[in-house]
Amino acid sequence: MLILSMAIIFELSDLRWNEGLKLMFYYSYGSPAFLFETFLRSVPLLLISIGLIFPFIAGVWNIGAEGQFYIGAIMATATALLLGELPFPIPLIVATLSSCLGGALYALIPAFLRVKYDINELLTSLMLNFVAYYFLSYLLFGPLKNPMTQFPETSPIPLSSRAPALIPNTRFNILTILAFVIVPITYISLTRTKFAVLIRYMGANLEAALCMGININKLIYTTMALSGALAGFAGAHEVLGVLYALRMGISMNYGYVGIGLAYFGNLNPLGVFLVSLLAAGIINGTLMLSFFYNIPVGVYQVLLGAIPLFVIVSRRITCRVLNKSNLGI
Amino acid sequence: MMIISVSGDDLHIGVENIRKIYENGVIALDNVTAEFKSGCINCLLGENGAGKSTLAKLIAGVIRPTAGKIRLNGKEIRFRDSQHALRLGIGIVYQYPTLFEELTVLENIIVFNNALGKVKGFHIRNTLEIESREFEKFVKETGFNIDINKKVFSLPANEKQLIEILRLFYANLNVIILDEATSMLTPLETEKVFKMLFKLRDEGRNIIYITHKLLEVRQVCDRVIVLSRGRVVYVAEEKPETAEEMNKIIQHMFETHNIRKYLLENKFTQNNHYLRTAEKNNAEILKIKELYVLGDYGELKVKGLNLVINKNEIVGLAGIMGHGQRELIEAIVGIRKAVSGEIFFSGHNIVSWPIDARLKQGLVYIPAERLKRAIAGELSILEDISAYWLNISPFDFIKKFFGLSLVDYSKLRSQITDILKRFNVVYQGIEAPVKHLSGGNIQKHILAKILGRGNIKLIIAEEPTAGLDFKTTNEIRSLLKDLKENGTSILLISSDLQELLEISDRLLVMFDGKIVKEYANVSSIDVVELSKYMMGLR
Repeated sequence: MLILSMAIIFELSDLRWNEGLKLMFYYSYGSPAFLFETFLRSVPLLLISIGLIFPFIAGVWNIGAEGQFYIGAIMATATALLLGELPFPIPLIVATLSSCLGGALYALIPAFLRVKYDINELLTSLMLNFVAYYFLSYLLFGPLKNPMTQFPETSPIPLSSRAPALIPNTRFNILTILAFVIVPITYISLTRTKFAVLIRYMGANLEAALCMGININKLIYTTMALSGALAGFAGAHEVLGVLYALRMGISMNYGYVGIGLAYFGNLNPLGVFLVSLLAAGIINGTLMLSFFYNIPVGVYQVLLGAIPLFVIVSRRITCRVLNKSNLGI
Repeated sequence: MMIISVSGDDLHIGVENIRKIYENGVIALDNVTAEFKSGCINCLLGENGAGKSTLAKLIAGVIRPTAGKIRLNGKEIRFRDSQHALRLGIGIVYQYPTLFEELTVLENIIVFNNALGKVKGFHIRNTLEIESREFEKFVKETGFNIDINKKVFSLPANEKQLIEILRLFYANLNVIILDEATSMLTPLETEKVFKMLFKLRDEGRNIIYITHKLLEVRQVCDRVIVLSRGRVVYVAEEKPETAEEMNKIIQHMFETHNIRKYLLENKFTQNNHYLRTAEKNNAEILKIKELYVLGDYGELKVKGLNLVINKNEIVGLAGIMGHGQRELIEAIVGIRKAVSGEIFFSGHNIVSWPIDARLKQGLVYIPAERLKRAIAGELSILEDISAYWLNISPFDFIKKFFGLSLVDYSKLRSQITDILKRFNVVYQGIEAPVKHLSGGNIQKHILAKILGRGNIKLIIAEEPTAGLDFKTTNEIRSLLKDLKENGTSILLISSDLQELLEISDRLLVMFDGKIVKEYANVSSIDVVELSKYMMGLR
């Protein structure tokens, strides 16, 4: 289905459909270099959507991953620029940690408002995205502007805090590996810990959780902080491992796409891993295609938007074929 | 107002060879053939899961039969939906309120009348006024005091239920189905509703009354139809007058179980349960001093209440719903904040403690709204219980694994299976969702969950047997008594006076946010006097 719609879109944009599909696949997964780029692209999506699994299971609506991502990136950049003089691994580690901390603290603002004043975290976290975005824009046009070029981007990250590439000629780095290691860790923590049992209970029936003595406020704080920390980490990965500088266009709506991916991965880390690879492939493939052939860049957004539709429809069909109705859609 | 002709034999409802199989494969009704006669209060009896509610819903057009026919006036009908049935003059009231919480009582009535086809067009303002006058007049005539301009969610549960019953009476329907619809009402309200039912019956309407309360059967029923496991097992054309006839009905209700045991200690024919003397033991487990608690809308609900519960006793709390009982319980348990006052629980002032800290000290809560407050229905039995247990005693079920503390599911699984067996819970599998259990088993599951881990000093039991069948009710009551013998104190809040008198050692009456009367000796209670205290007449 997805492939079919891609074909139609390519046909509409003056490209033979078979040719387009082939190229699309080639540019996303076809050669080692492109494959690594896709892996790299999937990291922010993966981290953000894995982080969002926790609050979403608990029924806490963190829509603010975009903002937490920006704050993480800002923290990473600021720390890296500040500590640039120190020997190699220290600034990298400190910058990564501070980005997690920044993201987590930023996510705790809506959590605090929810717990203390019962303000809907969906609204506050969404609004804080814009605060973070314009804060970044202020920094890039003001204090953090690159003094050499006068472009709205920061000076390059000093070498001492860049994440070293593990495979020559790619940007596949140590933070990327760390991101992938988080997948099994999340999987275990979601299947075998007390925390997971409690957030599931809270998500299934909030009032019962309250009456049965589960400390809901603590869970709101923890889940929000976790997702914020992971979103912040995603920001650090982009700055320290891929771009080596902070710019305005650092996030391609990762925070919002991540919300969708968390659900299409069925709130399961393994599912999210696969889905974010798919999404990254689509983004990279269409970006390359639009670069080489005269295809509008917006195509990737159309395709990404189409994923949810196809996932739901195909799941429905599988269900009907298997004659089960236990998915509740 | 639409007038439906009411005449003699025209309102018979007959069901023929009805089968109903739910989507999950449960056979709720299996070849049921029965007659519901007009001018009669037809009583439908049966234990939980016998198929009473299913049959009621079929007749009210809410669900459709898998096979079989429903006849109205001897003519076969197929309901399109419940609105269709309503327009044919068949209405139903359920055990739980189905009103729109965000609308006022009046708006609910208008919506209902619209479903009836009474209100035409968009003249809302106009119809509002007409309806308000008419319904208000009707309510006044019946002698109830309900403010119809209030939003429904601000009303106590008994008033909600009353409104549903009254709107059905008001709608002048021919067939009225009450599916345990008096479960939340106070004795006096029930009495009034019965009187209205008798009047409707004498007008020749067809009334189908579903209940668990055997006492009510004697009071209201003209005919009795007993269902058991989806089949009609007994029909009594006459009102059951003697104890033998009642016993016969009970026997049929539970014929699939070993009911002899319950008949031997049958509380129904003996009255010796009033002869209970309170054993005094002065160790205070709970002491409340000058407690003030606000209600949902900022109004003062508990007004300077004092209360003491000793060790080893069951304290009953009687009172009409909405007089601060709920707020009191929630303040004790820790769901609601107290404005001022002190709550001492085994020596600690717990008034500012979070709920989980109170729970770990041994203060547990069995809520009345089971589905909403005590279980997460979507989760499996295993998950539901493990969440509770892991929350209160985390280290019992945690295994160290490469330095990580992971949940020991095999231990949890075996202990949960054990406890479910001990509490006689009938379940399909431990991985099946809790909501698939039947009503009585859900309550037993909740008790197993809450009482299954030791260290319980005080149980706040809110309506522990409401809506449960005779057998389960007895099981739960004797369980509570056993717990008391073993050193646990219980605060029992129940709208069932019978239950309060049967198992409590001491009875408190709550009215308007205060304890207005304490009966130290339950055996000497005069029920009429008690009712007067509950109504605030004394």
